[in-house]
Amino acid sequence: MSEWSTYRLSDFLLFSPETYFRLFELHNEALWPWQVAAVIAGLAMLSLTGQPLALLFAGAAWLLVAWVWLYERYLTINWAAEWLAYGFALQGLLLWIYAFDRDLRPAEGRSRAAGFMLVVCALVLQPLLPWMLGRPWMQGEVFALMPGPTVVATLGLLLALRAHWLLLILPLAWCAIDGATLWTMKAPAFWLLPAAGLLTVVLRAMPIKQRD
Amino acid sequence: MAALPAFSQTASLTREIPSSGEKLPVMGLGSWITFNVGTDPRGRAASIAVMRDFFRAGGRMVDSSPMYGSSQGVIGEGLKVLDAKQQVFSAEKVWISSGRSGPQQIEQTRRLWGVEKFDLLQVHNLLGWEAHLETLRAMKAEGRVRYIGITTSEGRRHDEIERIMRSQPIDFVQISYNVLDREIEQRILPLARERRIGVIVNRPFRQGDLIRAAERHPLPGWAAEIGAKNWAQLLLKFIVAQPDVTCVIPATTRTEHLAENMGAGHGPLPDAAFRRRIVSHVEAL
Repeated sequence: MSEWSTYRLSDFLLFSPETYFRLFELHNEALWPWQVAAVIAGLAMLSLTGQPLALLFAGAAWLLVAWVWLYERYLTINWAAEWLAYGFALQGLLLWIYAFDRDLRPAEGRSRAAGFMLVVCALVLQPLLPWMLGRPWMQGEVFALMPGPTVVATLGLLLALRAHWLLLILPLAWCAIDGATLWTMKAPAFWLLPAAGLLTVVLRAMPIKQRD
Repeated sequence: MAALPAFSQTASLTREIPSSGEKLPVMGLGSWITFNVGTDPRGRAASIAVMRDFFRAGGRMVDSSPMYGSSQGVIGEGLKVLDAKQQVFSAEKVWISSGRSGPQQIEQTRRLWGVEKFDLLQVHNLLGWEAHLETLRAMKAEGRVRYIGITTSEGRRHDEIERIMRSQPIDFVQISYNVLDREIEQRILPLARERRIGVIVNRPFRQGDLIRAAERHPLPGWAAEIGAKNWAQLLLKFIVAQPDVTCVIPATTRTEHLAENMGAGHGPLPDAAFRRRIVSHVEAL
């Protein structure tokens, strides 16, 4: 039997919820006022939802999160963050490559609407989540600077484009990691990213209605 | 400077390390999760405050692992700031699959602690234990570590732990034990006595779940008979009353919890009948 199989999920939770959420606060303090630029970039991306060009913004956001959050910040409390950073960087590059894919077309109907809704959720709801849950608002996650809203916004863009499944692998993996981490910490919003991932998978798997 | 708690006026309970006869205070300090605070100045200051009160109360064994994120660096900073390198009984681990990478990891750990050598090095969760024990035995022979051992937690791989205890010359075994998880009473503790192996107890509060559940109920009045003023002391006294337990290593981020824990290392301990009473009471909660 492999030695790794003797570990449980909770054995890999290396930090307390206080330490984890405090890290977001420290991150926001250190990066201020770049959050303003990130929000502006996010709004620009929102206006491009359904167009491949939006993936350029998302790709840059994944690369930025790989560097400023995973490698510079999260690695201080989680030794696995280096590998996560490589994964985020890879996803960023993939998004950039697919931004120039001429076969990508805007989806219609519910996929596009749900995609747009996910991007709005990432840009507006997720930064306010700590405040809504009674934690310091300075712990809010901002698109392009932290993983949660970056992943949700990316799922929205990919859904609105009905992009290749390949592009969904890492965002969906992060949804599972984030959900497992928050669930192990008994955080009330543990379901948020897994729900966004599930919604994306279900809508992406549905056949497109043919127009007459 | 905060006043020392009343229990500090009495000598803390100690146990002999079976392989050497060296005495150690029964209350140690773990660092799993609690000291992994990264570079947060507030978190590091809180951790160092816990270390300060631990050493002031006469504590010695501090335990960590490369698995515990930034804990090792926090401990190193604490030892330096508190000038406690002479007092600490440094208990560390090697935790890497590759046997060849073990010495490099141990050296990196030593630098983080800022100590000349470790008192105890353990193979964490038996990961690559054959190769690492060989390294540790060689280090002990060269005087680069004083004691060696193995660890596990939460009841995993006890059969293998037993086999190693029977076949390998180790000084310590670190294992989980608390009022609800008592499997080691059957074979591990008697074997430790027979083989003169020290026992370090981890997860005394089941990562906090046990004490959080207990604290929802009033402390029974009879706890005062053994000088237990709170649930932490009752649960820890249950553990250290086992004569084969050398040291227990609860972890905490708060000095008030540290003070409660350290209080368990003073005063009377429960006898066998009293321990059965604690078990019955906690199981019925």
